[in-house]
Amino acid sequence: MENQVRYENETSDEVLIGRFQQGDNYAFDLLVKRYKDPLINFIYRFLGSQTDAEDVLQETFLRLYKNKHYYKEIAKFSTWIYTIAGNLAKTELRKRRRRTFFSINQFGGEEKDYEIPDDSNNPEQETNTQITDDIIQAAIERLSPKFKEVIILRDIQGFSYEEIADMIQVPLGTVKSRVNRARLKLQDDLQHLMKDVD
Amino acid sequence: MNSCDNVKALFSDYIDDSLSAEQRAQVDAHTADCAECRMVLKQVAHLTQRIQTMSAISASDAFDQSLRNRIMENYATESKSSLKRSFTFGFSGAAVLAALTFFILSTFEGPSVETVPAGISGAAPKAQPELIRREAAPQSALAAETLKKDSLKNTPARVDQKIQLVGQDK
Repeated sequence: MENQVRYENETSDEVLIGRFQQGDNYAFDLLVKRYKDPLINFIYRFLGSQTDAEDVLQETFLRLYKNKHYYKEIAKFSTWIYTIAGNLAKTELRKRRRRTFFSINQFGGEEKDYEIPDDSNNPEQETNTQITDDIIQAAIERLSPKFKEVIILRDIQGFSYEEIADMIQVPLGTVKSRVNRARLKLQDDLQHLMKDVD
Repeated sequence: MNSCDNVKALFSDYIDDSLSAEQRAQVDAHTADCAECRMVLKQVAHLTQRIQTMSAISASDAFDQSLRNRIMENYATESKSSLKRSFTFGFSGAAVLAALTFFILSTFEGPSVETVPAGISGAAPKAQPELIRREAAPQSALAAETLKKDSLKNTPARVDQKIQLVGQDK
């Protein structure tokens, strides 16, 4: 029992995926156990819906199950799985945008860049001293996908700039610049809630 | 002197504490004089810290079972399509084998086609005259030679006979 706990806790992701590639399905279960919560948090911040996030998470693990042999040990497993999840989340966002575009056109709306209504600006929900998670989440959702992706990976998931550069396949300087701009955009969007910050 | 935009570009690294001492001093000097940038820096730092401590979301209790079902469902679908593919390939293979067998048999039976009378085989009447011409040519020359020899043999007196045309002087 003690050995099993040690195996679960101390075996690296890369060893587990290697064993799964050799047919050990228990290694797959351990990877799911290890990554389902961090990944759903990542995907949820992208999409803002728990149900949609679970669907995308299932698809992520299904891709892992079906395409396990595509993983090569040159990359960290976390980088690989976050790349899959991020791409699927962005695809889901694109689908939503298309659906929104068609539904707006169907009802004769003007052809303009549609923005998700900001419910967080309801004064009753706001306080001058506290910013709720929902308000921040809504502001993150309003960011464009390229800013949203880096701010989630950096500030919510806690990855280093180098790891993010590997995941999204852009130069390190671009990642740093995007994180900085995303933080400034969020500050600009939410500054009315931080008047008391001194 | 640093413009506000240039200093704001360093805010993330300032918050992450990854600036060089010189750059850090530049930001400090600018924000000491610029109230707008000072406020923005404080708010960005506050917001970043707040985002980093946002409550985490967890997968639902039903997630593992749903994932297992989806994998099994996918496995069943893949197996079905794999079986269908095998059947399709098998059927195609049998068809190719049959065509190949027919071709081989046709090829080995080929010469016997030439034994078919010309009236039955459509190709024979066209091919035959060519063969006849090629083979008949030597035979005709031989026959003509024989005929000539026979002719000389039958009428030897005409061998040196001069031909007298009409109106020609004798």
